[in-house]
Amino acid sequence: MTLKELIISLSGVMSISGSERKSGEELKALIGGVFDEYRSDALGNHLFIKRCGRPNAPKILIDTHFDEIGMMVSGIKEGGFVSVAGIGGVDTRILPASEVTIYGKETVYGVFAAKAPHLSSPAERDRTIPLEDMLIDTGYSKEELEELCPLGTPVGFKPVYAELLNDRLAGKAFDDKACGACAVFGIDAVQKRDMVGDVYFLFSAQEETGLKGARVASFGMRPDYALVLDVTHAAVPEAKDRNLPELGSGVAVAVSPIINRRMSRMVIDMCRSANIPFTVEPCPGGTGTNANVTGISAEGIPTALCSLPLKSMHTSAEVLSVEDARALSRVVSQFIKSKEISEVFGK
Amino acid sequence: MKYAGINLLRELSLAFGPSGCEDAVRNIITEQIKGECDNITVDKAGNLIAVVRGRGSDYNKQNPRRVMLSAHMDEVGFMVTAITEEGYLKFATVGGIDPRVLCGRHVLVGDDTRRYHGVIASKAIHLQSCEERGKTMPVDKLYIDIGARDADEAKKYVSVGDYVVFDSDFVVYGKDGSRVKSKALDDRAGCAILIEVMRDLYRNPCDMPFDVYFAFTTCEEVGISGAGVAAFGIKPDTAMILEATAVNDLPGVGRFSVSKQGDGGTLTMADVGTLYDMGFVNYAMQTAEAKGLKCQIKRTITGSTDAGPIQRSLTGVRVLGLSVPTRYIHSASCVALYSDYEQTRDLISAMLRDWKLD
Amino acid sequence: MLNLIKTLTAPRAISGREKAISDKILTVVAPLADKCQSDAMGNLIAVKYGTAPEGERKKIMLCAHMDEIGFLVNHIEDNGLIRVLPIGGINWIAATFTNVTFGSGLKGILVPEGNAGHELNQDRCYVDIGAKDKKEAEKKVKIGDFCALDGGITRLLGRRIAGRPLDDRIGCAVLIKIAEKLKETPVADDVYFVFSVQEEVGLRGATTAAFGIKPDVGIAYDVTGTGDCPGAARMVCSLGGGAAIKLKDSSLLCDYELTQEFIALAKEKDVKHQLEILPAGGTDTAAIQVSGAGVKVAALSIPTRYIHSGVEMLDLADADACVDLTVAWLSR
Repeated sequence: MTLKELIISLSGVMSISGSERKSGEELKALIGGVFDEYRSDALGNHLFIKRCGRPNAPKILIDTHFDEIGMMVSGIKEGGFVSVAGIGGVDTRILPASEVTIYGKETVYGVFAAKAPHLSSPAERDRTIPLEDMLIDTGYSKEELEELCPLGTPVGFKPVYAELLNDRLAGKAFDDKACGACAVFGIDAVQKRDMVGDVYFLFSAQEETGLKGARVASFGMRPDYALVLDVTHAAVPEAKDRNLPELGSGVAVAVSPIINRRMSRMVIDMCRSANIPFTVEPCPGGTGTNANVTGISAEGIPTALCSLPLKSMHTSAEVLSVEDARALSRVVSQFIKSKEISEVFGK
Repeated sequence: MKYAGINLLRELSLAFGPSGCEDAVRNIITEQIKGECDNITVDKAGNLIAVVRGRGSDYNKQNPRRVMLSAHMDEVGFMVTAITEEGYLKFATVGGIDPRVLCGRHVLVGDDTRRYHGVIASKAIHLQSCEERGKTMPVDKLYIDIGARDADEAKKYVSVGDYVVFDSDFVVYGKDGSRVKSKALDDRAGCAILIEVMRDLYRNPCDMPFDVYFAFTTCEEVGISGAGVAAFGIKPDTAMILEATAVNDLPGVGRFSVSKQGDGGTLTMADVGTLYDMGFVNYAMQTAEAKGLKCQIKRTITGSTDAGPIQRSLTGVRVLGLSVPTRYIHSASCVALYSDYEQTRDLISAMLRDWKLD
Repeated sequence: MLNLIKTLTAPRAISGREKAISDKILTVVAPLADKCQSDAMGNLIAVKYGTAPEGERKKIMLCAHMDEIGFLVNHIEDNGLIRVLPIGGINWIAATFTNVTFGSGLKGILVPEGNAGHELNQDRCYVDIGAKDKKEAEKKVKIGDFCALDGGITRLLGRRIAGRPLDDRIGCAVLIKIAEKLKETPVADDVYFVFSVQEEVGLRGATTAAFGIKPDVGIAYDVTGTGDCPGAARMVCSLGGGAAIKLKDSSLLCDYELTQEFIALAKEKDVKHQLEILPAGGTDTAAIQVSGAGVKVAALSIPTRYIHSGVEMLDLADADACVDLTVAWLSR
């Protein structure tokens, strides 16, 4: 499987925050072959371990989050309509007329209702509709829906993918499963004897609802050091003055008060010497990623953060550059081979 | 020994130490406390932790009780977010800073290894429109001038991700030199108090039935603090968090002030992050009364400190918040009364030397 | 149940100052438990050991918070009127023109300034204890003292009651009722009854309690909003609809499989129940979930109208359903 194929495959696996456990078998079938062990925990984290074969080797955590934003059925109405509550930061502007999958006892297809423009006043058209006022049209009866998809059933965007020009990919849930694919590829590319420690790949749960999975998993496993991979906003015309990385500019290495300064420097040096394209991403406060919680977990876990530039985050039309993804997978490979980093932060 | 701690306060507050880049402060403290405690370590979150061991008949050597004192090393500052074609630096705040205190300030740009002078530029008043004159410039419209001719030259000295702190001197002023002005008194004042208390306990030991852990913590100002990590490692029974707190005792600022300069250390009952231990607050007030020291109670529920993560670490820690009342905190010119600093320091010392918290 | 609730709503105990209610609960729960202890933050933890052999018993943490919202004294004016700051989510409109009681038992009234209109906040309200001047007031009250709206319960039609602080003394009552039933019919697992502190200011007590217990499963009991009165938030819960099994609130997503287990069991045992998706608000459940290396959590809520007012209203049948469902789950 190519990296592009793995990105698409992983992004299609259902993983709305809170229902990550359901996809354990599917996930194991997809990527389990790269690893020696698999574990789960009380929060539904998926932990895959690749051992280097040496006793007392450092524990290296590679974290990407498995969960994606979505919705949950919150009401069933007459006429086959379903109302939903948001899980994570859903962009409500994109919802009218969008297609969704309701992951009930059977998978139910639905379309968000949208008033025809002919019937809306100009004022209405200017205003976004709050999520609680929106309805999904399913084509089932109320009674059938109550049986098929009771309250609490997860709802996600229907997976649709397209290859754009210049090796760019459009789709949903690249946040953060594209990074997951990069991690798996990067780890698979390294021979066990070249790994400087045991690699713990955490496909973490509930990042989108408050960085919860990585918080408890890092506490439970106590790695010696960590690399968090997540997506970051790529430059778009309407945010020119934000100094965002361009799509295709490689990985974004975070520099932040909460990121270990020495480690981020070593990652920058590592990228330079391995000719991996990168930009430096300043994060003056926190980072909005799992790095916020791994760094201060238990006795402290020195953590670096590398990000994949992504446009239109949290929509079903996220756009990434496969070239950037390749660069990110190379960062992972270099990171788990890095003797320099292991010497400073290993046992 | 009037003003004995003033040089310490000067050296600490002038050090370059924004959140995440506390190296210079940590080095100064390490130098200051060498030979003044029983052990010094640095943990994985960069916290510097020193211990003074207890002694005497009530001291349980196998499983000693632990009292933690904590002060944060980091200060508010900025981070360079971009370098413009003209060679100016765009920046964003590290920690909470009121944009009104920024225009025209002198700053230092760099990191733990190198620093350059700069100024936060703004258009001269003559060039501003009437509307502009009445408005605060938002941070994303401001820029730093380090004198570079263009981007290429600026990039020789400065990188995106470099830090910026206020460049402000240390001034002793007022009648009898009673006041100090500097940047970063929040929380180098707390750091200085920890160092002075440590020296005193180590040089003049008393029968102390517990170990005292002095934690100089990181990243308090960005809210993802190292203090919880420090507490997790120390496993304290009780903790005292030393801070510099806002004062707001100026004329015309509203019905009540936060605290008053000259009334001694400020005890906090509640802030946004923590409800402090009532028994502990009472113990502090009783000690102050017995020793003739001044202390006061903070009158607002604002801000948050390292007490939050420390209180909620492990199975819970009893916490006390004690602060030096400081005017204009988070600016280039923090102002504190030296007598408040002394009162705060002496209260901590007195509490430790005659521990009566049940 | 009603008498127990009357007992539990009598003490005034705002977040961070829970001793009065903790002492009261201890006297009730101590005879029902094998061990009682409190921790550094003041959580009261009562343990009932299970009947299974040691090593085979799971640790189940049941949690309800003891603290209530209230006020902290921060200023005494020259005329003897007292200014206070809110602890927890105070609804000033619901809180004013009411009686308050201080920790010492002193009585007062909380009122808005005469020209305050509806824009109420801490700067526009004060407590009047009847003092003639500052000097007299300072004899009775000092900065840092607390007060809270008066407690008490009114019986309404059927098994409905109104009063305060039902948030969350009703949860405490549910825990005690569960403990009573376990005393009669012991279960296999160890059950930790946690009466937590400082929930109203950010789920703080449950954080450290759960860290110490390291439970296999955590279940929190708290009030939840309803969608069954005019102007209420859009949610499906209603008074009298049964135990509300929480799916989600703004602080967490409950464990999916565990929640399904409760739903299935409620159907099987014919316990009246409903599902809860709370649009705004959090509970101790969230703190338990992320403690230590993570905990599987569920939450059973008691639907309550007019939360954080002096007339919080609920149906005792819903609280009973929470007790029955929990006992059924523990005995399964």
